[in-house]
Amino acid sequence: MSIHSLPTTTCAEPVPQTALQALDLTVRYRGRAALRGVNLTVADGSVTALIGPSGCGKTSFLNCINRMTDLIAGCEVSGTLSLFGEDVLTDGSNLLALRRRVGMIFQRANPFPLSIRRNLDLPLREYGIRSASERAGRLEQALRDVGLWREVIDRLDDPALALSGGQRQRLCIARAIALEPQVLLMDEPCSGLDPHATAAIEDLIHGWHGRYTVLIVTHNLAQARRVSDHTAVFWLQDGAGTLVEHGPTGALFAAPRHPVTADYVAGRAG
Amino acid sequence: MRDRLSAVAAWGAAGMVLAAFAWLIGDVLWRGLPGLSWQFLVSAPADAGRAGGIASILLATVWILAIAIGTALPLGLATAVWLAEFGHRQPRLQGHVNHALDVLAGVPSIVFGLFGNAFFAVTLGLGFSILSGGLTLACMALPILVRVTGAGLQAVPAELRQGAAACGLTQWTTLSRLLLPAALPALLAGTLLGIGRALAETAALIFTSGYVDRYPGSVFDSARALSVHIYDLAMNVPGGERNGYASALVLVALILCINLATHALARGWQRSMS
Repeated sequence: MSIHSLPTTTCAEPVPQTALQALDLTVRYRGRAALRGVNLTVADGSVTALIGPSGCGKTSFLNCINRMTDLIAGCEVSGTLSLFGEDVLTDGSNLLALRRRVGMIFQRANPFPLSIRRNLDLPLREYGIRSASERAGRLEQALRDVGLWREVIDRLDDPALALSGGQRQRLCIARAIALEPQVLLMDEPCSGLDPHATAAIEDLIHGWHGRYTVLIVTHNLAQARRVSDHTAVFWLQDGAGTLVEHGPTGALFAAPRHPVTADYVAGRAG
Repeated sequence: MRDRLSAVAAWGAAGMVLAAFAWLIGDVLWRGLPGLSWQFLVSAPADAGRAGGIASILLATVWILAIAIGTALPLGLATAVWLAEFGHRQPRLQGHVNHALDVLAGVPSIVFGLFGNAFFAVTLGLGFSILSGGLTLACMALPILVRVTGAGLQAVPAELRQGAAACGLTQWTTLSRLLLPAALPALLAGTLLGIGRALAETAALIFTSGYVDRYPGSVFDSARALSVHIYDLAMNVPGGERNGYASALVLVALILCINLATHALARGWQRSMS
């Protein structure tokens, strides 16, 4: 991994408003670029929607932020990526600590095949919270935050896999926010859910403004407009995905600058 | 016409498999049942096995199996975990281990017997003993155990691993709390298959645990496993057929039980995965 020394990423002068900064971020799978040259700055506490057709690097971009790319054989990330001024991509950085600061919600809800309680208890315990009462408190707070507490209060020890699809996804969100992350990465979190469950999750995201920095991949343009303050458009160029346009959601949808964005948001392409 | 011929051939082949199975079981039942009794199971063999029972033989078999599984299970589990979870970091070594397992799985049992004799009995000085036999069987059961357990680990959905990694769980927690519980039925099935193979083994034991049909006093004693007993009664003891068939019936019954248990486990496992 090449590290450019750029003034904006040095630890001495952190930019307080910036949660995330990518500079020339490139992802290669077995030598082939899937995402090339992404420059993106994300403000703390904002919601950014990543939109664009499938296969143009949106998920690859998310996977860099919590280094899920490490799990993929043959995956190579270059460029710089900093989280609140700290470099994310350095080999020596503490991976587990990073993943506790950056929660991730997947396209398919993936609760552990354990009880509802253990789903949150296991990561909290791993996080080093020895006190059972503190864990119980965090569990209740996280489940309340996602609106699941009333629904599961009398069956916390039932298997999590017995929950409905929407409940499972909210449980996974609770599992992520119980660790008190700064950033939440959401990879098409509603693609498998009905409109009712989708609305519940969009409500959650609305409530998070200023609390978490959210990056959400979505193929639902209406959803992007509803939940995000910034939108980043990814597109396939020269065989690799790249960021073609980024700006405030309202402005980007009303007056797209890039021709592919204009076609995409008007439904003429993608 | 050709369709009919091939259909007849296919049905005929399937029928022959069933018939062979029925004939074998029927023959063992027919000739074994008269000699089988409670007394046969609980008394020691006498007159080179012509008279008496198989109590000491059963005991020796259990000891040999216990050593084989007790050795192969931790080794096999650790190998399967390494191959499935860590091996990708050293793809060359992973390839070598996989290759070694394939070769091990294909080695004829008589070769295992000779190896066991040369290595455990002679080089390590364990002599003809339950320990030599058990360790030799462990080498034989290892590939099955690793393969079945590895398949169980690989069948764990990738989303589970991703979820665990994204929550900042350590690899050890992921393995011990999530992956191994999910792969437990496969591990049990692999163990049962390994026991089945070890139970049926004769050639590897003749050279390692030996022929002595007395009650074993320790793992360093030579002892006779059930399959070796059957071989001996059939080949070396005139007049031993009756007890030989009764012993064979006991062995077949044990192996059938293990097969049924494995199938039940595999079914339960598939249900829990879907």
